[in-house]
Amino acid sequence: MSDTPRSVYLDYAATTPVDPRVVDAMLPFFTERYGNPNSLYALGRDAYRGLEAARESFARNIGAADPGEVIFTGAGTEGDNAAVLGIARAGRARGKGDHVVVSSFEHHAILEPAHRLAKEGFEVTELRPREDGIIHPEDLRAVLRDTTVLVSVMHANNELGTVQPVKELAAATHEVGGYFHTDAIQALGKVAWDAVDLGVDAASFSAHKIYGPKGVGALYLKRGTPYEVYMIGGGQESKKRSGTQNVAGATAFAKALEIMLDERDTENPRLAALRDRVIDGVLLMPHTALNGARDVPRLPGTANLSINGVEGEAMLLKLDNLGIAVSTGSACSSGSLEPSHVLLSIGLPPEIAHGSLRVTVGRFTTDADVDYLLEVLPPIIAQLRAMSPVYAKMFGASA
Amino acid sequence: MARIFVAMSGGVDSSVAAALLVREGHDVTGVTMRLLPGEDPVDGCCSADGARSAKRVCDTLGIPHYTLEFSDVFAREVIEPYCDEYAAGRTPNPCIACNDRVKFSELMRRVALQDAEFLATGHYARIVRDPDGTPWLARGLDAGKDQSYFLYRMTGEQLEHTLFPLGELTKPDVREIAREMGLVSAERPESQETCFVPGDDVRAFVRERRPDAFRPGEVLDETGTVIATHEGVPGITVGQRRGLGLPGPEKRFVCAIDAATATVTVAPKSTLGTTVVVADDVVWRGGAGPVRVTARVRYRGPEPCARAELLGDRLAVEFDASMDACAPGQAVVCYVGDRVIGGGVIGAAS
Repeated sequence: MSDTPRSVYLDYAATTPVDPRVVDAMLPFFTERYGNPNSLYALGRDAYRGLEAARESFARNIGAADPGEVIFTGAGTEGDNAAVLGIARAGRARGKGDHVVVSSFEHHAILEPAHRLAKEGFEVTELRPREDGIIHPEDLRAVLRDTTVLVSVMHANNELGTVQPVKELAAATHEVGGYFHTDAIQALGKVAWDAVDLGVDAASFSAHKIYGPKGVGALYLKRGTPYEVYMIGGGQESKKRSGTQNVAGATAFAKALEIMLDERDTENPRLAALRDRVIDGVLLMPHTALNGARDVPRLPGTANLSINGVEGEAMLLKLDNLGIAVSTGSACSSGSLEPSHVLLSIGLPPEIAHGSLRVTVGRFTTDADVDYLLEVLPPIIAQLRAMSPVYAKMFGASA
Repeated sequence: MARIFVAMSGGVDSSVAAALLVREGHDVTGVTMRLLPGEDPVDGCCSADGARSAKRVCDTLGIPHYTLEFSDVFAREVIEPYCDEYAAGRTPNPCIACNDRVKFSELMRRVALQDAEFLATGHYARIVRDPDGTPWLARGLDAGKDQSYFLYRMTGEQLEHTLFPLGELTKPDVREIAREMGLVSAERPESQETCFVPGDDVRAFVRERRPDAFRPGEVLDETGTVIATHEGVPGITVGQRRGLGLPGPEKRFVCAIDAATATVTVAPKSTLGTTVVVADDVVWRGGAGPVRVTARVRYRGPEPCARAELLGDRLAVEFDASMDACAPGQAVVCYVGDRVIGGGVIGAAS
C-alpha cells in the first residue's frame, strides 16, 4: 500500500463529523433516558420531555410558528420524498390541480419522487437554473399555472453552493395558489432561516450536514398544508410520521442546529475565507472556472470548479491516494462517477462537467488543509492534462 | 514493488488475484466497473452485489477499492454491437468484446492515469516471453478453466501492462487460497450467463432493443422444403438443434441463417461438416505464410489441428478434418503450442 501522509477532509457537503458537544447531548438517551416517548409511565414521559424539548428548540431556531409543525424523520431524503409526494397528492385531492414544478438541479431525493408523480398523471415541469446557478423568480413565474399545486426548489444547491431566492420563489408560487417546498438540507444553519419570514409551506432538513448524526432529518410542514402521510403505523408525530421517535437523534439535531447558529457569525466569514483561497488558488491555473456566478448569494463553504481537460474521476482518485477527500459531482451510494446533472443543468457541456471538482470546507478545516490541497493539486492537474487527449484537442499539447 | 490495479467482479477469481498481489507486497488497488446504468437487474459479474463483494474483499485485504462508471462505454462497445449481431442472424461473443473494447482499453487507460504500471485480472491465462522479452498470450495451466480464448485480441502493448496472477493455478487452488485467506467471495456461485442479459433470455433482450429484427420466417430443410416457421432469427445459432419445433424423427441442425430473408436452413448432421473457416476483423501475430496451428471456434469443445493463413485482411483456417458447423460471430482462435498467435471473427463458413 502507498503511504498516506495525511488525511484531509474537504467534503463537508457530503457529510460532517458529529461535533463532540452533539455526542454529549445525545448520549443520555441511549442508556439512561431510553424510554419510548409514547409510553405512559415515568420513563416514557422523561423521553417524551427530551423529544419535545428538542422539537421546541428546533422549531424556534427555524422560525416555525408552532413546534407541531416540525416532524422528525429518518433522513433528508425521507423529508424530500414525503413532502413532494405528500403535498402534491393531497393538494390534487383537494382540487388544487396537478401541475408540479421542480428545478432541474434538485437532488435526486426530489427528482425521483417528481418522476413518480409524472407516472401518476401529474404534469411535471423541470425548471432550469440560469448559468449563474440561480432559479430566478421571473423564470418560475413563466411556468406557473392556475393548476400548479406544488413548487419545490432547493434553498442551496448541494454541488454549486448557490443560494436560491426562496422567499421570492415562495411568494410567486402563492400568487397562483400553489404550495412551496424547499430542500434546505445544505442551507440550514448556514444562511438565515426563518419559516415565517421565508413564507415556505414545507422544508426538509438533515442532521448530518451540520455536525449531527446520520439517519436523522426533519420536515417542516406549515399548519394547513395538505399532506398525505408517507409512513403509517402507530401514529407518532401527531399521526404525520409513524415509527418510534429517535429521541437521541432529535436531541442531537436540535443541539447541532443551536451550535451552528451560536457560531455562525464568526464561522461563516472564516469558512468563506478558506473557500475563497480554494477558488482563487485553483483559478490561478489555466483553463479553470468557478461553476455558478461568483457574485450571487453562496454558501460559505462550497466551491465547485471546472478543470478543463481533466477527468474528475482521475483527479479524485489521485487526491484520495494523497489522503485528500473531495468530490466530483455529488456522492452517491454506488460510489460511481457520472457527469453531474447539476453541472449539465447550468449549461456545462458533458466533457467540462466531467472535469469538475467540488471542495467543501467546514468546522474542522484549517488553513493548513487548504495549503496542502493547493500544493498537491497543480502537479496532479498538469500530469493528467499531459496525458489527456481531451486537453490536447481543446488547448494544444502544453499543460 | 509495483503499483497495480486489479479489475474485480466480486467473484472468487479476481478476489484471489488481488490477494496474491497483496501477499507479494505490491501497491494494489481494486476497481470494479459499473457496466449497467440504474438498478442492476441481474446478478452477473457486474452487478451491484458484485461491487459490494469486491469492496468487502478489498477491506479484508486492506487496500483501496473504487467502483467506476463504465455504463456508457459498455453500452456502446458491447451491448449495442451484441444486439446488432443477433439482429443480423449471427452469434456474438460479448465477453471477447468486453475484454477488447472495455477492459483492456478504457479501463486500462483510466488505470494508467493513476500511475499504475499494471492492470491485473482474474483470468486463467498466462503471459509468456520470447528470449528477447516479447510477450505472448498463453493458455492458463488449468486446461478446464483456460480463458485465453476470450483474450485473443490482446496486443503486445496491452500484455506489457497486464498481469494474470491465476495463470499458473487451478480452480481448486484458487478456492483453497480464498478459504485460507478468509475472502468472503470464496463460496460465491459462478455465473455462466451473459452478465447483462436478465435470466439469460437472449431473445427477449434483443427483441426489446431490436424489435424490427423479429420478422417471422421459414425453416427449410436440406432439400429446400419448408418444414417449419420461426418468429425471428435473433438468438438462433448455427449448429443449434433444439428449440425450433422441427417435425419428424430425424435430428436436424441449423446450418445457415439468412437475416435478409429471415430464412433458416437445417440439415442432418452428416451434411453439415465444414473444413475451412474464414474470419474477419483479424488480429494476427503469426507472420505471413501458412502456419500449423490448433484452433478453436468456440470457448468449449475440441481444438483440432489446422493450417492458418492470412489472405489480405482475412484469416483462413483450414482444418485437417471436417468440423461441426461453427457459428458466424464467434471467434476462431489459433494456438501454436500454448501460445495464442491470433484469430478473428468467424464469417460465413465455406
